Amino acid sequence: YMERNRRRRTKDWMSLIYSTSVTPHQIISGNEVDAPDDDFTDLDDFFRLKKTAHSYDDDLDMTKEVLSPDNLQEWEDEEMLESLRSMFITGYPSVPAGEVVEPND
Amino acid sequence: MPQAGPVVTYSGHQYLRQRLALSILSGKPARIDKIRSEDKNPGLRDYEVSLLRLLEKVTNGTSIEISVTGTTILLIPGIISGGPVTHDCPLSRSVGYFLEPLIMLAPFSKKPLQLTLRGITTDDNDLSVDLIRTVTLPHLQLFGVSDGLELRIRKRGAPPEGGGEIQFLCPVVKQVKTLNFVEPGKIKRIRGIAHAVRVSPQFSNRMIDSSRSVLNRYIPDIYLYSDVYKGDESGKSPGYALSLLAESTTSAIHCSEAVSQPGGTPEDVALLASRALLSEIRWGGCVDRRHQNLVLLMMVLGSEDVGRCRMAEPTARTIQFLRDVKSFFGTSFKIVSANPSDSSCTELLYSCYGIGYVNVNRTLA
Repeated sequence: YMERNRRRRTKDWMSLIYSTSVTPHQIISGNEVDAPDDDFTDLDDFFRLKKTAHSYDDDLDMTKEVLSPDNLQEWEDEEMLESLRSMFITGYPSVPAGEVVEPND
Repeated sequence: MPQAGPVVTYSGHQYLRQRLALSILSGKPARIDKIRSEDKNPGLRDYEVSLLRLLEKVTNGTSIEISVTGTTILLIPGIISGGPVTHDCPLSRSVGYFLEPLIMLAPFSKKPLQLTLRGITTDDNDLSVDLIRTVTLPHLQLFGVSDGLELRIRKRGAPPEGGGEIQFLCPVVKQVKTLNFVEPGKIKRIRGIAHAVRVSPQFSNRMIDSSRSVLNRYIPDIYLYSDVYKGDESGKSPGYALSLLAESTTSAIHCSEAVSQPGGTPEDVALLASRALLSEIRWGGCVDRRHQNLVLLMMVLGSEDVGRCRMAEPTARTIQFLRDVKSFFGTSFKIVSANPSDSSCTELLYSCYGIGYVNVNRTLA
């Protein structure tokens, strides 16, 4: 379901990364996308800042993401497992072969 | 203290490693303040201090000032000297924590780095030594850092007591090659390393069997290796883990890993690792998500040409890394959808113009 959510919205990564001050976690989760610049009129902003600062206290500088068995439950689904077959050499491409080749731009 | 150029300033303890590495590579001093200043236990953690000490060892002329409370540091980088270095890592983080930033620096040192690290070799937070050996180093080879690049796992050390030892050998390069990697290819083989220390060696086999039950449906070319370490080589604590990697026809590598939990079974670990690998494969792209930073950094440092790479969406770390790269090197990436005609395509094409970073330390030698 997270995947669906991601696919629905095409983000403008360059402007999000370079021209806004949205935190990386907000960019990933898709929050605050509508308000790229700090919204000073929003009083909640004040509290949110404090809150995020707090929740980052136990945020380690770590490379691996925490594996959650719950999120990985989706791989118990047979359809889900089959959907990945096109990524392997044994699977047939899910799109016509002509489209797999990337246009050089 | 002489100040070379403008100081790049940050607040907070997050992303410390990449900022220190970027500072040393760019030669720009970095000041980081408000390090856990609101925490009950403010200031730098022992592993962060240890990392700073290690950076002092591999460089020459680096000045690191830590404020009395430990909440502010000022790093004035020297040159990366390399050579033989030995470091005992604290048991609060695995050796991967220390190795990752050093892998970014090592190719640009004056003398080839021969780094020996002791401590925990596999944990939940950072890349294990297995993944660094089988996945990170091949990513570095894409940029022409290859001859003599090696990671030896002398001893394994599971948390909490550690006791592992590794040796990392890295050659010196003058300049890294420009990357042009846009064809992810199809996955042709899966490899894995299962290890179990101070527990029944049968655990490795149980992990392998369980992992195969998930992955065998896709391709026959699966080889999962049971890595046996005995006696003194197996560290001080019991533990086991499974690391997996999938390699494509164009040598794109995706990896995953799961580590034993107290009360868990080897089957749980194997299922977790196998399913995480599938998720990783679904993200697509030519580069593993945990290695986005390394690849992007090398693209920036590459020769003065346009480097291109197809990757999955950036992780939170990568987003911050892209911003940090801009403040240290002034380089920003062009990031566009890898397949503009397909709106469901989440893969992105990252391109940048390399700054032509030349290893000046090496020419002095």
